[in-house]
Formats: sequence, structure tokens, C-alpha cells
Amino acid sequence: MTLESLEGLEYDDSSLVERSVARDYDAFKLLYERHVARVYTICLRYCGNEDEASDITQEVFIQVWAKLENFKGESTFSTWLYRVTTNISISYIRKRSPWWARSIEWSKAGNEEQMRMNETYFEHSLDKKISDLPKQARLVFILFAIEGYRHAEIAKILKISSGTSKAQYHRARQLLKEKLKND
Amino acid sequence: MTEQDYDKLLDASIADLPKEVAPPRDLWAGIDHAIEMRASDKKISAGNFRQIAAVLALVIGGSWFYYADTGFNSTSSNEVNLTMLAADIDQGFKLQKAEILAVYEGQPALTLTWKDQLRELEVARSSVWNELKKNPNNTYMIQILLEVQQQQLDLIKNVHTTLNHDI
Repeated sequence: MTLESLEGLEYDDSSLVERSVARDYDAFKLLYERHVARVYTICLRYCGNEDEASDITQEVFIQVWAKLENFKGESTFSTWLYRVTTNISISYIRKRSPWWARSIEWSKAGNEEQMRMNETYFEHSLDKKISDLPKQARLVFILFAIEGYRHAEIAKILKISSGTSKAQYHRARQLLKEKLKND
Repeated sequence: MTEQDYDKLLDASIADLPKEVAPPRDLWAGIDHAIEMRASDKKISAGNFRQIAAVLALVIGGSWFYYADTGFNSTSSNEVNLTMLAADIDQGFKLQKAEILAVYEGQPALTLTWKDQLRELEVARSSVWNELKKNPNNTYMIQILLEVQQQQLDLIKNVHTTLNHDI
């Protein structure tokens, strides 16, 4: 069945997943089209950089295609996909070079274009404030307040204690409120 | 405003955050290409081992042929010339590699594993280069050195130019 004929029909995610597991590439493309904006937004919030978010989004879908048979249907496909997105984003942030190395790379690359691109997304003032938070506080805040994970889950994802997660969330809230007061 | 007001304002702002932001560029072309590449990458990965094994086999075989041909006799002036040639090749390659890496620095690559592949090829190159330092008259080794160096340069170019072209 071609992409055109798939588009004409109302397939839910689980049917598209089933077809994708059977290596139906057109079905996978429909899944991509359905979820790319949400996946990209999650990546963008974690990394705070449009170029990196685009790269991570691509990596997410590449890995999902490769490991789709790991999806056991215990949750909805979107829940699983966004969890995979979170894991890949956090793993990417951990592996990326330290801030000073990136600063050198950015200045070398003449990063005005990147700065301009980021501004388009960070027009939303709270997202801008979140992106300015310290790394761990930022990750915990996004996971808890925006993505809806519980502290116990965040502790597992970030390999910290549940208490640290709560403390970092509290810290993030305080910092954000300070920023709101200064507006 | 009280502290509670700021809490409410923060909660309202969180609720207002956009759930979906469209990516600034088409990402599918890159995904499509990478899936295709990775499918062949698996073959390459297995092939990589074979490639490195082949290089090492050539190193060992080349050394054997060299000794068999020369009977361990070599003229010292030839040796000096070939030592210089090998050193020039090595130096030239290092410069060329650094230049190409600088060109693509910070640009997205088609695969996340290209640096691992580059390291593997560098291990192979080092083996050849070490062998050449011991036996500078061995022209087989110079050929192999050139081949492995070219593979590295091609890898750097291919993982970058293909992706940038497609997106």
C-alpha cells in the first residue's frame, strides 16, 4: 500500500506501528509526520538550540525505526516515543562537549545565524527563562513540570536521588519566579 | 504581587507553553537517507572489520614480500629517500585531514558513529605507518598508507556533504 493510499485512510498509531514493524516505510513516514513537531519541541526544550534539536529529532526517528520491535504496546506509542525522545535528548546533552568548548565552536562558526534562529523559538518568554536555568535544574523542571514525569521516574532517568530531583525542581521554580519578578 | 501570585503566574505560564513547535527545516530527507545509510552501514560495519583485517594482512604480507624480495639488503641512500617520502606523505595527510575537519567542524554529520569509524581507520593507518618507519624501503606499505589515508578523508567528506546536500 502506498503513502497516498495510506493518507486517505484513518489509521491510528497502533496500526501504523504494526505496519512499520513489518517494515512498511510509508506507514513509518506517516508516524513521523504525526509526531515530528512534538518530538522536536521536546528536544528543543532540553537542549535549547534549534540546530541540535533538529539533529536529535532525526536521531530519535532513526533509532525508532531501528528498534520499533522493542515497543511492546504496554503504553501508547506516543508515550513510548516521547520517553525515547527524552532519553536520547538527555544522553545527547550529557555527551556533548562542555559549554566552553561549544562557545569556541560557536564563535568560530560565526554563530549569528544560530542566535537568530534560537530567538525565533525563544520568543516565548518562559521558554527563554527555562533555557537560562542551570542544567540539572532545567532538566528536572522540564521533566516534572512540562513532561509530567514523577520525581521517582526523574531520579531514574537522570541517575540522581528522588530528593535531589525535588530539591532541583524547587530551585528551578524559585529561580523562575525571581526572573518573573524582574520582568 | 505576593509570592502566591508569582506561583500562579508561573503555573499559568507553564500551561501556556506551546506543546508543538514545527522544526525550522525538513528533517525527513536526512532521516530517510540515514536509515538507508545505516542499513548499508551494518554491512560496512562488518566490512570495516574485514577492511582493517585486510589492511593488517597487507601489512604483514607486504613485509614478508619485501624481505623476500630484498633478502634484507637495502641501499642506505634509497632508504633515506623513501623515509623522506613516507614522512612527507604522513605530514601532508595530517595537514589535509586537519583542514577538512576544520571545514566541517560544527556541521551535522550523517551518522553519530563516524568518529568511531575514523578512529578505527586511524588505528589501521598507524599500524601501516609504524611498519613503514621500520622498513622505509617497503613500497607496498606506502601504497597501503595512501589507501587508508584516502579512506579517512572520504569518510569525513561523505558523512558531512551527503547530509548537508539532502536537507
